[in-house]
Amino acid sequence: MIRPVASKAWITLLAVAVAFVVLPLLMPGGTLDLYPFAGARFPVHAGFIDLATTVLVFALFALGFNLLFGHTGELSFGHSMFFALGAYGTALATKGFDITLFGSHLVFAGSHDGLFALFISLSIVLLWAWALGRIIVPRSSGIYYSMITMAFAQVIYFIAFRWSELTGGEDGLQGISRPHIIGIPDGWLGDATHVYVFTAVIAFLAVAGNYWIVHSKFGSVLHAIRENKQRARFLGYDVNKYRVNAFVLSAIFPGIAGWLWTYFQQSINPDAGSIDYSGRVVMMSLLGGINTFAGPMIGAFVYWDLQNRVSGITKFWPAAIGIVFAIFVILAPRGIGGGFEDIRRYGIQAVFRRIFSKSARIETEVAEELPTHGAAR
Amino acid sequence: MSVDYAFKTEHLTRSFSGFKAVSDVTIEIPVGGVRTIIGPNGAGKTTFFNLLSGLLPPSSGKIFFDGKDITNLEPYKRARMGLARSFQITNIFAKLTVYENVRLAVQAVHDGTASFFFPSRTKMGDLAGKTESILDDIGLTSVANGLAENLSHGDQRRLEIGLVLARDPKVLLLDEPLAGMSPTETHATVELIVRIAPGRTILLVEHDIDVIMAISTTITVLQTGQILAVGTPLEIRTNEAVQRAYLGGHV
Ligand SMILES: Nc1ncnc2c1ncn2[C@@H]1O[C@H](COP(=O)(O)OP(=O)(O)OP(=O)(O)O)[C@@H](O)[C@H]1O
Ligand SMILES: [Mg+2]
Repeated sequence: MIRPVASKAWITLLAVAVAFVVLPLLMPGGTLDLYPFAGARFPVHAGFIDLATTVLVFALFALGFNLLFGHTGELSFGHSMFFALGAYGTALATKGFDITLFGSHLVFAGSHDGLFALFISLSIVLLWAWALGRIIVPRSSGIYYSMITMAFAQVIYFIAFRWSELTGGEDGLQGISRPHIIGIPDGWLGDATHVYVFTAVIAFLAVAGNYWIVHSKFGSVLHAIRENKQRARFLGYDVNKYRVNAFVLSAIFPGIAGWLWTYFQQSINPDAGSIDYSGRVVMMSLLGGINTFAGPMIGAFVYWDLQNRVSGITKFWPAAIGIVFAIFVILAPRGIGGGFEDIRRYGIQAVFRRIFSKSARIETEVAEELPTHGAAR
Repeated sequence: MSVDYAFKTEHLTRSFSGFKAVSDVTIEIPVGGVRTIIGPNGAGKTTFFNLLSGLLPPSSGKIFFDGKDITNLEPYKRARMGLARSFQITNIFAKLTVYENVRLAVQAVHDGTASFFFPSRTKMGDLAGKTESILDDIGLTSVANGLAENLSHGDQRRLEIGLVLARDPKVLLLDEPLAGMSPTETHATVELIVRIAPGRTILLVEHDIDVIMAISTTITVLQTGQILAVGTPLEIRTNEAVQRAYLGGHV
């Protein structure tokens, strides 16, 4: 009954570190691109490093989202709001602003300090997530939870879209300079590879933090809530407190991802807070497998890799990705990560049998409102 | 405990769209012993448990536990006061391991008083040791690493009793713990209930008349949401109203 948790943590985190190192080389055009026809059919993509950076940012975004979806069993359909808050917070902390609000003149000159921007962005994200969590959690669960989170995300989206004076409106904010951060020489972040390295280091630290949360005693309570809210409650757990805390914690990661995204893109527009972005992380998590730790990150990789390759051959790439996604959800309901886990546990034949059996059902294992009944009497 | 009742209800009523499942129940349940509640299907036994444990709010009336008015207290707070319940339909973490089920129940004792990010052994004690001793108590040590959903029906019911025991509760509400069990499982579970009974008050809903007569301190008969009779097994056995209404002369 003794399980070596510590050593498993090191193996997982080491694997993540290795993956982050080789990731750029795996992208279309990279030297380790595994796709057999990459050279023949697609133009070699000069921007593969940038694509890898994009993957990292979304991997972090999806991983945080999955703390709620996969681990707590609650589907937020509005997590792009935290990404947008992190991104706009960073952009405004860097560029400053000059606005009139309720008759008073508000001016901020801006600062190039990256950690200052991170502090400001995360403060906004945490405050908003905490307030929302307190409003949403006691009042809703299931589909209503998804709808309410989506509605609040639309609020953020339309503020970004309409409040031109602050946010630049539809065009967003451009010309955001790369940050000054203690320990990083000025100008070093001017290079795409360096931006990747910077993003990878931050993402890795955040992933390690996420791993720690998921595997802590706190994380085990989230799993209990996912499996059976009622049982957890009657054991004495303050279930709603955990649901609020999970909501807030899961907002931090998209917030950090938004911070990285702004520095990487050096511009930001309302898309960051769109339903489209919220939906993408749902898709990435399901593609990669919501019940495995690394699943959402794998999903982010597959999504962007696919997007990049398919958009090279057809302008209907969103439709193509939609089809791939649908096929995946039907054939591999536990995602890529879950598929690997099943193969390891039950063998490849059993997994294939299930894929091709007519009785294979779509089962995301998200806890339902009713307790899972072991056996009816 | 400053009072000599485990539970007290005053005019407790719960209706479902006009139909009174529990109707004006005023009762004091003394501390200690196995207090069995019997009654025909639909008598309101489970609804009564749901009111006591906080799963359902009452339509009117009051509930007192350990001297305090808990009528509007949330279920998790009642659990923390030492009130634990099992459900008529097995209610466990089906997709977690048996070990993890019990471990979560043991950990729950410390929710609100210890940090689950930086767990301290001085505050929480030996969680693993306590988990293993409960697994031993309910006889599930050998299957601890399997998923709870793969247990036999009887073992799942015993697991739920294990979850309920983790907090070392003063009062246990057990809703038909023997339902659907084989004779061997029934025997082992009755023995378990008798073993954990000293020092606690057990409210038991059961249909198995032999078991009821053997282990009950008192029996409360519920019919159409109202109390028909309260007494020792012998008194209930010879109570005419009960004979007519419920036991139908079988005893
Ligand atoms: N949530 C509910 N909504 C509507 N009616 C309910 C609800 N819960 C219970 N009832 C009704 O209340 C009455 C009492 O039900 P309850 O489950 O308390 O009976 P019981 O004594 O536990 O019966 P059994 O021996 O079958 O378990 C029944 O008529 C039932 O249909
Ligand atoms: Mg019942």
